[in-house]
Amino acid sequence: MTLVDQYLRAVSILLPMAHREDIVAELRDTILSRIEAREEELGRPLTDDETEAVLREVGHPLVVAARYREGPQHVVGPAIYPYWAFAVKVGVAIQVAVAVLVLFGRALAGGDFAYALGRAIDSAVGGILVLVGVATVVAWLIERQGFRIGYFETWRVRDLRFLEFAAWDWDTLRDWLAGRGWPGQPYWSPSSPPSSPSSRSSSSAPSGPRSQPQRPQPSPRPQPRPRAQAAAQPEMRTYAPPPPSPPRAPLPPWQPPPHWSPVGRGVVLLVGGAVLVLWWISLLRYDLGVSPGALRAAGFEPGPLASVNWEALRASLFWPFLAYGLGIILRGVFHLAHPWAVRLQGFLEASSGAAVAAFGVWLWNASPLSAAVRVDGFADLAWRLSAFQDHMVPMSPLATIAVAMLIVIGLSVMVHGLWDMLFGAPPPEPWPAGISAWPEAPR
Amino acid sequence: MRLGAGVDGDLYESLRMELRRGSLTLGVLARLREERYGYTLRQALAADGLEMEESTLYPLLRRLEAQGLLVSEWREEEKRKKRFYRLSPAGEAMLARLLDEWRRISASLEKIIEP
Repeated sequence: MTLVDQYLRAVSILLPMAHREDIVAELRDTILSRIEAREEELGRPLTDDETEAVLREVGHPLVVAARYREGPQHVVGPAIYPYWAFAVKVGVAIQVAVAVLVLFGRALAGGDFAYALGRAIDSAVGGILVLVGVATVVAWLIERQGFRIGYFETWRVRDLRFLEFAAWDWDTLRDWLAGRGWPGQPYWSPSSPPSSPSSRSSSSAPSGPRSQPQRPQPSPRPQPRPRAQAAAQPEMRTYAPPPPSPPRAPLPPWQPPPHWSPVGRGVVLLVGGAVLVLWWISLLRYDLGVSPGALRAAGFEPGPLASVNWEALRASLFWPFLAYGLGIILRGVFHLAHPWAVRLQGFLEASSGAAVAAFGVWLWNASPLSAAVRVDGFADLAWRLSAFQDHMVPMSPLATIAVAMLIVIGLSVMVHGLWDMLFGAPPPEPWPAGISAWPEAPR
Repeated sequence: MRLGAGVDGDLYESLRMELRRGSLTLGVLARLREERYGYTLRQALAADGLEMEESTLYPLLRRLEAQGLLVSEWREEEKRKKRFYRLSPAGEAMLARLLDEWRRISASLEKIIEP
């Protein structure tokens, strides 16, 4: 077998079967033509080394075969990469934060610190790898398998607040430490043209009643530029890099975020549901399990909760909970696919809330936790709460409150969903009227 | 190890490739108004000043054929079977449209560069 044959064989097994023969025949002709041209140049047959040099010039079989394959030559393409990178950044930050919190909790509770540290590293690293893998698989589905994500075309300005979660990345921290600003500071110029005074006026009134909280300021700054001066060149502001010593922009006072758009809620449901499912099937681990002994050491009294068989409870809840998580993911997909089907979304939300409330009622009445959670009337609750006078924090009243809150939350979600279902619009927004100045079309 | 177009030379090279990519297709289509096989096509393009890697040319030919712009035929020549490519009628129509666009772009750029 000649070198050329060996090379072509390697390429051919990497090609799609239907075109193998065709492509290899053409490639063979190309390579032989190349070799002949070189031989003519030298006036003698090529040595094996020289033949190999020609083949290496043609390219590695993996690369050559890939050129003949259809479709993109990447998993995360330039259009999706910013979303992928953001998802990974947030996922890593949350994993690390949870691991550190759990580690602190365990360290405070006493116990083997080295063991806790090992568990924390294990759960953080494992979780990060899973999240990066999931993000990559999603990108692959979009890039290669023709999954269309409406969010890319239908995102709304009012949903963009969530991006501020990502303010705390390494670059920002470094800038902060160098005194170049504080994390989360947008490039927000107070001297922008007063286009919509009702929403922006407060940002140019640094001495207002809700003036910005004290931020770390590396040095005293001159007063903001007069408005007229900046208004003369408004377009430049967006593109020009910040001047070397800019007047520090006063912060706009915090405003409650506007109501999420259906698409924004869809993304939240999708991501939240995915994290819930991954956690439930143990692909993401937060290492939250605590033994009764450790609880007592930390000053908590588990009481009747200590005798609950948690493994059996988890096993009996496995399929219902998994179904609930998958349901949330499907709701998110539905939001993205039909962003304007507000009534149907309301129905799904009401069902989801009803499921949560029913789960709470089951925990209260019929579950193995019932003995620890259920109270008959306020006298009973007061009696249980009186245990707080002991030096131990009793956990079963806490569980009672938690389950009661679960039921209330489920019911309120259900009411919210029913409202959407009946009226096709969310209830009036609970925040101040000034918020209506947000640039958002009414429904 | 190279980790991207950090150096000016690399940047020039990547921008140049981007600039050339579209025009190569145009050159290939125009050259195939007469029938040729890959090797002679590449030489003809090089003689016209459009150097092209084989690794770019052959997959491009195949893609253009799959899109119906080229037709090909295996024929024996110089003791070996070679694949000859030629512009299809659809390819000719496409070439005419692309050339129009090319001239428009060229005229616009000329206007911008030297007003």
